[in-house]
Amino acid sequence: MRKLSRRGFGRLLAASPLLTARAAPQTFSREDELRAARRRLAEGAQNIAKVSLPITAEPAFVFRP
Amino acid sequence: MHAAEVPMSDDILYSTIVELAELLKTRKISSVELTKAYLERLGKLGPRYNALAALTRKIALRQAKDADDDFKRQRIRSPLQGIPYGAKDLLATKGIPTTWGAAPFKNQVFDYDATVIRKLESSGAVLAAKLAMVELAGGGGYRYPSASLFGPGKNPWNPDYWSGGSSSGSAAAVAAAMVPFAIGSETSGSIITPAAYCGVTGLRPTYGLVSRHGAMALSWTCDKLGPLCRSAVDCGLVLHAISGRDWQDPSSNGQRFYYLEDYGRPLNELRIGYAPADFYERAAEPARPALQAAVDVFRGISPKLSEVLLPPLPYADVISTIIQSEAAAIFESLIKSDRLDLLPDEYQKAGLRAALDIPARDYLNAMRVRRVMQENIRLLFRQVDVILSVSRSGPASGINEPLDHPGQPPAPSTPPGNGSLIQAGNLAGLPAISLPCGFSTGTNLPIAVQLVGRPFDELTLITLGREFQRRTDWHLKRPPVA
Repeated sequence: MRKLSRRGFGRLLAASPLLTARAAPQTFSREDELRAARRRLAEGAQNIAKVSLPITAEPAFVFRP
Repeated sequence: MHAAEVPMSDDILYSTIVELAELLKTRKISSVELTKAYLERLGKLGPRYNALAALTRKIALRQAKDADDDFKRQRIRSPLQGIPYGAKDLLATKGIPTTWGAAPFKNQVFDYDATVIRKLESSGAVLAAKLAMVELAGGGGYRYPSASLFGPGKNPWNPDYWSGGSSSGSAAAVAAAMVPFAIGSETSGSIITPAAYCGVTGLRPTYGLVSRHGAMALSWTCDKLGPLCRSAVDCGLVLHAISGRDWQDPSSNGQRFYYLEDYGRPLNELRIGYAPADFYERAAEPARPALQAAVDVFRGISPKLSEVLLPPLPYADVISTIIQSEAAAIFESLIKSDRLDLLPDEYQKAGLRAALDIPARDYLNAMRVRRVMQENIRLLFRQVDVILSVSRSGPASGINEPLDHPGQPPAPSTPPGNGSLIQAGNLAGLPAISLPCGFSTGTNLPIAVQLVGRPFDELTLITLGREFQRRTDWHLKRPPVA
């Protein structure tokens, strides 16, 4: 096993998430971002579906002729 | 023609509309002098804080001269006569680019003025600038403050921090006395948030009170236009000028707001509801001293402070589904085109693309739950006249910090609060006012409280805000702008 130098150990520590002082810019692929966005919307829809709605509850807009 | 450098004292530039109106009426200063001074300041500070979309110098000087001519004839159209203002760059201004804060629309020019712009012109106000905003008012959501054609909105209290959005330029411009007032918009927090972060007073009117004709639509059922000013009274004066029926806006409900000095009801009889946890356990620690001191001031105004909680309903999910669905319909052609890639924020682009696929069933269910929420909130307002809460639970975030990180969830034992009040208030179409109440410990950034009222009860909010500002001076503080 190769011996790790002090400088190498320092570089390893600096790269460690434990020592990261602030969030690095997030880089996700376009597909990942789209999947995540769809997932958020789907989760939201599931949360909304859990609300008990009276059968007569109409949407919050009313059409008047 | 360039505005000459007109030395005008900071005391004048940081004045309220009420104070400026008196100076103009008594002709101690002229509107042209005042306008030139603000134009110069906008030109110098606007780019520093990424607050400026465009100076409207020619229009401003013409309107200022007209105002001065009227003052000479002792013709006073309104308290706003001769007073410069800035308009969020989603308001159509004839012949001047209206970019919606977004690269795909940077050359967009309308051949008409938005109704709010026309009403302010009729009141004698002076359009000095179009102000920067988060692109498409944040439609689709966004991860970084840099989601804007103009770059991240920088906070005049410390440019390493965000001004808030989406009315970022409107708040920064008022905070740094680039204009005495500005017009912003709110769909879900876009007046309240930047007003709070920049230490100015922001008013979100009742849905339908102010015409949205000529304003970019993000969500037909959630968008409102409102003022950001240096005081609650100033907000009342601006709302007086911009409210009222407009046949060109189908959502305009025909009500008009009249600012009255005499409220007609003793403030100590008002019932104020709040959730103590909002000001203690659920507030960021650096914000707590300022927030708790504000509660004490309100307790002094109205001893009838009682605990009140929003019913536990999925406000964030409902408003997100509704806004996204409506935004997808509004921006469909943009989302399906290559121009969408001109937007810098990947989270936003993904949000808009995903929104195209929201089933009608999900949107309708969200609107049904919205009806239930409205009814619950209406019942809540039988117990109280006003809800007091924090505008934001902490100070502004860093300019490079992502806005979508969830942060530490509260411990299960944390008492419930009204953290969803911005979403709930917008879903129910309720008015709200954000009032600066101090500064965070450590970072020394503005902290604010909000008052939410019944539909069309802006006068109660403004009167309470006026009394709060009579007892405190946070709204008079000035950022360290050279």
